[in-house]
Amino acid sequence: MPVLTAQSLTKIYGSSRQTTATRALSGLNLEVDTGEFVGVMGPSGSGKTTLLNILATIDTPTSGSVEINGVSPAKLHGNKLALFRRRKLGFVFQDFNLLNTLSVRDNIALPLALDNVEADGIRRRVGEVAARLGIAHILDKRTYEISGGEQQRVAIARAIVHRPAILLADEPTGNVDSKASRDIMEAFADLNSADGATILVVTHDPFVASFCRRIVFIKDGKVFSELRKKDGRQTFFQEVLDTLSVLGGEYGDPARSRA
Amino acid sequence: MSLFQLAYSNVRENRRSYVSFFASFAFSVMVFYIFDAIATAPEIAAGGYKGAMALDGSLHVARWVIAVFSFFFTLYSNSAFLKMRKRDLGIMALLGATPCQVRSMLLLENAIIGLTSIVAGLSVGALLSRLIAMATLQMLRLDIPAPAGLAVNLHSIWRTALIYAGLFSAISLLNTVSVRTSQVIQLVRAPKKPKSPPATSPILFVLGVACLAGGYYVAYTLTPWQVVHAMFPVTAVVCVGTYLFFTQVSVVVLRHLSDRKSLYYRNINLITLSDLTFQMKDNARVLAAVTILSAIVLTSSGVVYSMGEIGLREVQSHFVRSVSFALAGPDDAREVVDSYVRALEAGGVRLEDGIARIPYLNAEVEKIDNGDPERKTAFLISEDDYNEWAERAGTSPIQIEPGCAVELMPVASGDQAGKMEAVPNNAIRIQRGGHETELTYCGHMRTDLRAASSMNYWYRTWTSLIAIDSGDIQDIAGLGSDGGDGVIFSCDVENWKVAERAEQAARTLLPEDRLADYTSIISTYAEENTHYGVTMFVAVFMMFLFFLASSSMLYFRFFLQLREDREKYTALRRLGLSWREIRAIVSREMAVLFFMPWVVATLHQTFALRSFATAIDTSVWSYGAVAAVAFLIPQTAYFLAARGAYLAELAPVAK
Repeated sequence: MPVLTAQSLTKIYGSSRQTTATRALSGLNLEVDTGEFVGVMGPSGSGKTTLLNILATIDTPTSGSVEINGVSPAKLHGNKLALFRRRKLGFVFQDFNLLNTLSVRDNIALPLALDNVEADGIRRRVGEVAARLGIAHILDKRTYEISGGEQQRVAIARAIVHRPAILLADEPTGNVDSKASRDIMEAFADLNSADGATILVVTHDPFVASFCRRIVFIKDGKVFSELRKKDGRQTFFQEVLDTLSVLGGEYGDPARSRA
Repeated sequence: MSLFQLAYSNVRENRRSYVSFFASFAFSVMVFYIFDAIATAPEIAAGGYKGAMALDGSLHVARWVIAVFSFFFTLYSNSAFLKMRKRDLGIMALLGATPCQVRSMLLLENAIIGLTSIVAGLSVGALLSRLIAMATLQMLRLDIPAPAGLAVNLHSIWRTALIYAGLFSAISLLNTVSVRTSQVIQLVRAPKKPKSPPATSPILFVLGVACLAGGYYVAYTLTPWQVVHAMFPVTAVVCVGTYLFFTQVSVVVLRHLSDRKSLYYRNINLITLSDLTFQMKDNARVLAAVTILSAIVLTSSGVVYSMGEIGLREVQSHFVRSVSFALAGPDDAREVVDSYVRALEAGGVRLEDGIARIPYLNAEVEKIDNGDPERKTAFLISEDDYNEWAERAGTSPIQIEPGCAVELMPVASGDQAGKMEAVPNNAIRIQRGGHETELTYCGHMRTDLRAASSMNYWYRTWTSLIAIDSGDIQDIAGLGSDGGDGVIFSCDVENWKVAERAEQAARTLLPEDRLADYTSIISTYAEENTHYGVTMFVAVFMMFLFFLASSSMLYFRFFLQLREDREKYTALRRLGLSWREIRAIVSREMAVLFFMPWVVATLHQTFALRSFATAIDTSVWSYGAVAAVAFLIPQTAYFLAARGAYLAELAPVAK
């Protein structure tokens, strides 16, 4: 059963009359089923970030439609859209976006508090999620007292604490070292396999992508090809590298401004 | 690109951040100039009106208070502004600009801002000072046009420009030298440095609470004798307490609220409470400064306001009747009085029923009792005439036996009109037209016939009024005449507070040489109101100034964290916070920062006014409340404007 369906998404920046108009997406189709762990890869400028922003309902497509859990966010406005985002979606960003005025515990509690869950329920759920991600021992620390890998796992905990329909991650390992990258991706893989969480990760990093079970490659705003994990992660990693060499294009660190 | 061009384009590019800095400085310049120009204008400084000395003094003091205040304000906003620009400076240093170049550029930038804001402040000040001077003169009822010299007072312009140029250079130098370009990394990363949670110390918390409680207790229990001695120590203690209130007490209270999880984990409370914990401590110095300034301004305007109101109330309590006078002229006095009444009514004055027009006989009287005989002029009126009026006016009539004389005295406090006090065994000799007759002096009665203030009676500025049996008065009239007879007029005016102009016009109809005992609440009240008005004007002006300065400080403070807040709200927006909730967060946080000083200052003021009330032996709470509300209204307007502006800045990323 699909959690997310995107049909012929097109996004054009700048008006069509202007010569500077750029086409970030052109007729992209994507479907994510419940319990899937999907990676979206593509070279710089392929439209990854635009796609994620549209799926995250913080940007709107020029044409095409998105449906999440059978609801079309394009038809929602203002507060309803915010509520939809708050309840159905979970986000993990490259730069964590933790609030440094809040403790780790309160950062994780935030989505539940916003939904007026009662205090005991919040405490229980935060404890569960923290234990799940191995961050129970740092719950009372401040955000700047913990490492980048830990910060990102806190961000993941915050993203799943309200049991979203789908977890969206944008370059989740972009700001951490390789050891922390592995920790973070293992946490994602574990959430997916053990809890059946539906996850979509946008990345340019083949190592990160190799943790996914399916990878969608996009180029010039369209789906270029797809890869499904059959054997172990090592083999899959090799396959990703092969596809990327066919795909071509730049694989530098994406500009921070687009993160 | 020369250094000057670079500095110029920096100012232009950063104009949004510069604007509040520029505006606040220009504002200080303007206010100083206005005060200086008015204080040195000879028409005001050397005016021969009541309260001129006090006004002159307060204007001069106000000037220097403003100068000192703007020094600290500018120092603060300049350093805050530099903090905001640290990143730019770091990038310049990164590109290889020498420390000397960076500093010269900063100085040049500052010079551009300083000069333009001085010019702007002086220009606006020149425009406004004329307006304000005219308002002052109007209120003083000085009938001279506002002199042209006041609009552009060269002395004041030079003085203001020099003082503020010096002040600004000193501050720029101070701040520029403190920029350390050697630590490039700190400059570039400065805005990203995380804040550590505010620490509190139990000792300081207790000290803060003790300072406030102690100060309040002393202020509350002072005896009038102690007020003068206790004023400064108590103020100092409360200042310390206020600072500790924001650094310690508020943080502890917010922590306590955060510990109540059912409250803390309810919706956006999580964000507002934790944000406020940081902001209270971060802004403690500004908040304490604003609070203390507001408390001083609130208290002094409360004092000024209550003094004025008490003065006006006293005027009111002295008068039992609005207007009264005696007009001599046996033949036409009544017609003149009638024309006076018509003039009043034509001028919009509403007269109440019971207008008195009682004919009197002018005579010399001598009271004979145990003491020394006392000769004086008196107006004699007949019992019937008095009673005819008394019936119309609804006041007590009088009863006089033939051969008896009753003196009519103004109602003194605590007395009722009509209260008769018999004095046995006295006689009164009445002389008229060279003849003399003697009557029994039967006593005196309180009356509200004349617009008496009891002062008129005690200081004997009034002609005595004696009522006599109607038969007797015929006999006395027959003794002869010196042409001094006339009519006693009195009336009650409904709209006496606003009848001044009409009364002045009507009075010109009364020939001054035939007029006696003209007493009027209308003109007395208007006069008192003028003196009060001038003091109030200065007080309100100062209040307005401090209000603008303190609000700007808070406003500036808020915009300093705009960059961080934008990031924060972008993140929250992605987490699914609605624009409505973001608005609520911003509104709550801003409201606490804007109104917390007012709340604490009002509390301070309440206790300060309490000791003032002890000193002058009257209750002034309600006047204090009026001052506090008067302060709250512009504060609320400013808050709404600031909130609107801030939300407009956030809307692009968070809406």
